[in-house]
This record gives sequence, C-alpha cells and structure tokens, in this order.
Amino acid sequence: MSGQPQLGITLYSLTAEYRSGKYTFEELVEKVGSTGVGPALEIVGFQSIRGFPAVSDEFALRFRRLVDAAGLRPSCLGANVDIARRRDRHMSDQEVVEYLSMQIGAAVKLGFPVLRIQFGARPSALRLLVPIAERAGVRLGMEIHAPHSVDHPTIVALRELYEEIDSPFLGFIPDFGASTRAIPAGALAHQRSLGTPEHIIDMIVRTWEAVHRGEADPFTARRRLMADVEAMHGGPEALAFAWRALTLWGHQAPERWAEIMPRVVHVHAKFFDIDETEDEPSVPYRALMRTFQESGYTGTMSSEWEGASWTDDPDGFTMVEAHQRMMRRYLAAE
Amino acid sequence: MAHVSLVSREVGRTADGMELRLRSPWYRSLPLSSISIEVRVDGAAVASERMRFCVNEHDYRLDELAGLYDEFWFVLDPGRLRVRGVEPGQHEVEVRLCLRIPYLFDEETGEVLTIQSSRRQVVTVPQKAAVE
Repeated sequence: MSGQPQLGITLYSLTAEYRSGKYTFEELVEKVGSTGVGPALEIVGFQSIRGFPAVSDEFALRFRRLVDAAGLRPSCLGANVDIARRRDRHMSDQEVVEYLSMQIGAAVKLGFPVLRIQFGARPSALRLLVPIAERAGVRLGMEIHAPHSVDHPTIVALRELYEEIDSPFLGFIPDFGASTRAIPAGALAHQRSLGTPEHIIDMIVRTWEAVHRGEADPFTARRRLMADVEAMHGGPEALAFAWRALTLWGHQAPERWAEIMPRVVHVHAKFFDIDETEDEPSVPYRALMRTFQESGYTGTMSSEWEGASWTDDPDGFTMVEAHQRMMRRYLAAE
Repeated sequence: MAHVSLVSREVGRTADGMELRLRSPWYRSLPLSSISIEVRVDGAAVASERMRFCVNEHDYRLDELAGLYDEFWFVLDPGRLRVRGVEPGQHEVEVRLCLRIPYLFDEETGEVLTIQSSRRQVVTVPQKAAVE
C-alpha cells in the first residue's frame, strides 16, 4: 500500500520462543506468515543463521522458499559491527569493511534490500563501504539507537558524510527506543525482583530523569552511573540495569526524526509493553506515527519487542499483534 | 519453559570428571573471544587448567578462547564445559559466565560492555560415564 509505512516484524521480538526451542527458525517464519504480523520480515544474521556471516547456498535457497511460501518479504538483515571482537584492539577500518562486506554478501544472497549496521562503522569505513554496497544493491542503514539521537555528534558526523556522498545506499534506521518518556514499569519491577537494592534503583532512575530533563549528557551520565553502581557494590544485575537504563530508553523528541527522514531506509519500531488501552506507556507512538506519516515515510517498519527479558512467560506474537493494531490505529487517525 | 537457564539440569560424567551444558544468555551468536568462565565446585574455585569448553565440535582450553575472534558460539548450541577432577555424586556447582559484547562500547573510552551471568545449583554426577 503506497502512502503508508509497511509494517512487519523482526524475529528479535521472538528471541525467547526461539532460544527456548519452542519454535525453530523455520517455524517462526511460517508463523509470522500465518498470524499476519508481516509481510516485512527482518532477521538478525548472527541470531538466525548458523555460521553467519557465511551463508550456504543450501540455507539461502531454503530461506527464499520459506519466505515465499509464508507470503513474506525480506525487509532488513541485521548485521553486527563487532568492533571489539579482538581482545587486544578494536578493528581497523579495513577490517570493518571486510567484516561488513561478508554481511552485505549475505543480504544479497538472502534477498534483503537493507543491511542494518551499527555505530562501530566510522565515517572513514563507510566511505570505503559505499561502492561495495552500491555494486551489491544493498542499502546500508545505520541504526540510531539510544543513547544516540539525531543531534548527537556521532550522528551529526554521519549526516554530514551522507550529504557529501549523497548515495541512496547510505541511510539511517531510527530505533524508537531513542524516543521514550519513561523507564518501563515492568523493567523496574523485574529489577526489584532480582534483588537490586532500592537506593540503587533510585539512583539509576534519578540519573535517567536528569538526562531526560537535558541536565546531563547520556554517555557521560552512563559512565558515571556505572562507576557509582560499582562503587556501591551493586552486583552484576544492577550494573547491567544501569547500562540498560541509559542505553535502551533514550530522550530524543519524536518529531526530530523528521530531520533525517529522506535518508531513512527502515525503522525499528521498538516497544516494551502494550497496556490495557492498547497503548505503549513508555513510547510516544501517536507523535511518532504522525511524524513518519507527515514526512511521507512509506518504507518498512519492524515491530521490535524488547520486553521479553523481564516478562515471565513471553509471547512475542501476541505482543506484536497488539503493537501493530496500535500503530495502524495511529496511522489511520492521521 | 520460557527462559533458558545458563546451566542445564542434566550433568554428564566424563572419564575423570563431569560435563556441564551451558547456554549463552545473549540473543545472538558471539565470538568465542567474548567468553570467560569461572566455576566453583562445593565452594572451591576450579583452576582453569582443569576445564575445557567444547563448541562446534572442538575442545578448547579456556585460555584459548580469548584469541578465537573468528569462531562463534551459535546461540542455540549448548557449550559443553568439561571439568576434571570431580567425583561422581552430588555437588554444588556455581558457574559464572562473562560475555564481552563486541559491538557495545563507549565511543569515548573504548570500553566494552561486559555482562555477567551466574548460576548456582546442586547437580548429581552419575556413576557411569555417559560421555566419552
């Protein structure tokens, strides 16, 4: 349908079902088709494919048949830029180019038009990657994930590079977790149930709120918060939560995505919970849908559920169905 | 059976110890260079020389893992951790797995996010060798 974003799912939303063995990869794809949470299908290469970034001919053929039979369309392949995979040093630009060239090759083989990339790929590496992506016909989408935002210096440098090179094969993937209004209640409740002391939870929430009010830079605040939690002997669970609080729940105004809209090649419609009124309590979906619709975005949007890890018996399919009903409601209202 | 446990209930017996099956707590496959493992049996730390980690049909010394940045632990595969010098019978086992997440780092300091998962449980090492 033209004039509207095309909804779909990333299998990341179904991580719990997949890891527990409740569904195989093939069964997940089939069920995405039969439950109608497609048609746009995103997968994470390193999650779904054994041996990734290598993809065998046999797997590629099987995948294409599977997707066709399920009535789905590949939207985006999630690559990872594992900049620190060596213990001794970070990857050089040339190594990043080689690592991502293989993942571009995987996207071609599997029929994905877009490859999600991450901020470990610096502008100097992207310059080298553009001709490779152009030849392959795969658009590179730099994910803008919290704590990044459209006006963060790292993203601003990319926007300048994009203007300079001006290739349709260089784009962005907004992650709606960059535009939240609160730490989800479920995440806080779960953290309490793990035994994290109240004064540490308090400190994490207060830090998040200070960043939200614009009183602190999220990266600096995250560094300081991690050091403080460590000094208070908060333990690994509390440390992980401190990182997540400042990394999963960002502060960018939803309207600001409009600034980069011409370069948006795909969207991670991140959500954490859907309440009884079928709304997302922590993410301003009404404003987000309005922004994307008014900017004329007609590309793909993956429902990306991030709440499974703090949910007792996660059911990603049901969550994504509700999430898509909510998105359609807001899109229809505009 | 929604969430997968770090250490499975069943424990195997090897010629000279036990075999634990570990599942990665992360959502995607990670390079073996991301992994470090510590184990305590009945409260006592096990020297890393007494352990081997087996994935992708290879048996690795724990001190080899750090160099294996091109080899991945597939997210659905149990890693088999063989611990030598454990007698048959009941033991309290504590496994601590640290994963260094290679794409999540602080741009300014270069520091990489490391997450730690641990699990303590009582296991029974069978009398008869089930593996090897």
